[in-house]
Amino acid sequence: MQAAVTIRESQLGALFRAFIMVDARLVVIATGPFFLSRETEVVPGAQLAELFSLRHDRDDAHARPLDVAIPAMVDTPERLELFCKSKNIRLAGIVFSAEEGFLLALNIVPEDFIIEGQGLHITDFCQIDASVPALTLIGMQRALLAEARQAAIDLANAQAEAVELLERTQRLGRYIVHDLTNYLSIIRLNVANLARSGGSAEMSRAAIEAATRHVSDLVLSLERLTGHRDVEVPPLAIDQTIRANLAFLAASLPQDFTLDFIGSAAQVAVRVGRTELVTILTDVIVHARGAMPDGGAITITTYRSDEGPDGAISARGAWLVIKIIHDGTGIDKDTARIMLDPHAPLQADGADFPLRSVRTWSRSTGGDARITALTAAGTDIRIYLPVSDEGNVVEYHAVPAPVGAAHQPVRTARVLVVEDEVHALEAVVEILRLEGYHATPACNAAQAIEALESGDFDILLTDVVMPERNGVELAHEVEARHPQIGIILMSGYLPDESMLRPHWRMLRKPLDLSLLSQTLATAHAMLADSATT
Amino acid sequence: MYGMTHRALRQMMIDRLGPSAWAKVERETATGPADLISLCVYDDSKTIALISASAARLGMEVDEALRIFGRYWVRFAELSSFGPIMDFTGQDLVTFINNLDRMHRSVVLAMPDARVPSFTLIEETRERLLVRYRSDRTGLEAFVIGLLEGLMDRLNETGTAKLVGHTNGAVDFAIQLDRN
Repeated sequence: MQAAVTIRESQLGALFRAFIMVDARLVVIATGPFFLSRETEVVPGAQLAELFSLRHDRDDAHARPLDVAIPAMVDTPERLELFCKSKNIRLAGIVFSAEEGFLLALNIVPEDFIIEGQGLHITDFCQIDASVPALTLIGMQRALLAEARQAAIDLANAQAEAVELLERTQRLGRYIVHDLTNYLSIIRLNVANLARSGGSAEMSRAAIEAATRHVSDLVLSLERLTGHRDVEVPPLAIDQTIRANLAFLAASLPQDFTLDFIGSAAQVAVRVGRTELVTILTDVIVHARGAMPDGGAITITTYRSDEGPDGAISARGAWLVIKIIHDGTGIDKDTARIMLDPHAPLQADGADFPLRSVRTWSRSTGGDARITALTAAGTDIRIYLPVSDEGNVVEYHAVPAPVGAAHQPVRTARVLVVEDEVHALEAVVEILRLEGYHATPACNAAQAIEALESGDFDILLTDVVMPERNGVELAHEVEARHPQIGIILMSGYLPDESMLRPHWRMLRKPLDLSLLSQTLATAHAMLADSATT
Repeated sequence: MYGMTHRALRQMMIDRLGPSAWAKVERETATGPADLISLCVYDDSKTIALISASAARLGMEVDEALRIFGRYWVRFAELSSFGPIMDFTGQDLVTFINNLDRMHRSVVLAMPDARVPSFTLIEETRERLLVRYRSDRTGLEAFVIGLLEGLMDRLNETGTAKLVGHTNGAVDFAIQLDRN
């Protein structure tokens, strides 16, 4: 037969990636790129019949032997299919006559059109082989199905986590409500006891103090539960913040305590949340109070230090240290170690050591905390926080009046008291009346607005957390309508500072009566001053 | 882009900065599990928002974040369900780039909403490859450089990739290989 075209071996390989040139006895002479690119027995000199057959399987008795079939197919359009005897490889094509014998123009036929496990690559197929888009499409669909399966699993897991979190939150919420109710009952009973002449004042005072301490712990739990910790915070000026909240911190202490602050870290800022800082300091103070049954002195000092919590000297002034010293009962070294060790056992009554939260928090900021028992008496607690040298330092001014402010109370002040807890409302109103104020009660924001429409007031004293409209919203509205009224907020936690006005005053619950009295007196005196000037 | 891109970005951020950093990115961009489904095609603005927020967390310019993400993407894809297809597409840089469009065609067949780019190898020497990139998206040049770097990592090559010019709506990238 006259050759119509001449084709080079490289071109042959491009069209028929698995071609095999054999002589008349079917001995392999040359092979295509498919065989050249991998280790195979299909090499020149090999006997084709030993490597391949026409049989689909070993039991196919009707398959003709190769030395009969191949010569019969030469230069016909009949399809030749070869099955590898040792591997799962199938080749298909047609047979041409050649000078040396036969050219088997073959390509790979993939089994099942699945890429995985066949060891096939795209280069095993000629450019126009329809197997390639079929293989890649099927491969893509299988991959997408796997991804879809994973996405479904992820979504199901996310849903399960959400449900679990909700259940955990509900459980914790119920626990907190239960405990708060109990502590509230204890406080009420003991307040009633204090009011009776024959009651034991000291026992009641201790019970109320213990209850309020537990309530403070519950509030901290709630703050953690609500995820305040996960919010990026700007650098905070520490001295200014502590000074601004000093009276607030002092509200945690009974009368026979003194709280002093020596701020030596002027302008030094650290990247911590204000609420967290004040809460942690309150924690330390409350803990110190527990170690000081007869009262005493607590001193907070701040300074910038080169020395880190591990004693290593680092960059100049890289640390801001908050040092809290009290002169209460000292502790031994083992207790000091256990108090900050998160892996140490709990206290005998099952409660956690409160100062562990100090270390956990300070470490979360990149710092640490240390506690040392002083030689004679007392304890030295140091909180190390990494100094932030960034700008945009937050300055916070929402401060209560300093303890011991010199203003004399003006007894004729008219105070609108807003509190949704009826017993607390009655108690505060009663106390203010005994102090000589004109106190008007309101159970919620709506009643307060109504009262403001029918009478004049000098001061709004409002709880923050109330149903429907909270005290901060009420304060904004009252100030907008009656800018001359002084605003004092009461709360067991620190509200979002962005919602507060710098000139508002704040009292921490449980209320310290003397601080309440001082704050009211100061607020009214300042209002009186501004009215006369 | 399709959700797998978002999943890859999430994994990169978790690898680099931990889960809380990604949680912040999700919060900032109002992203939830429904935005991370591999098979879904999302509006590009979502992807851009995620990358911008991630870049801010990483302390990088967006282009630098795109480049490291492109590099990470190759690694993420080969470890995912798409690993076998990548193996099939090519075991060397030239073969892989030459067959990328064929692979992308199957992506479009499987996901008709996907908008895939085109890559053509227009020059090839032993040490230098010139790749022409076409896409109806703009601004992803840094991502492409990262992809080419990722491919070099995958196929045991070292070298550099850089943008060398724009031609009729296409962008040309040169890969300089360290072959002695």
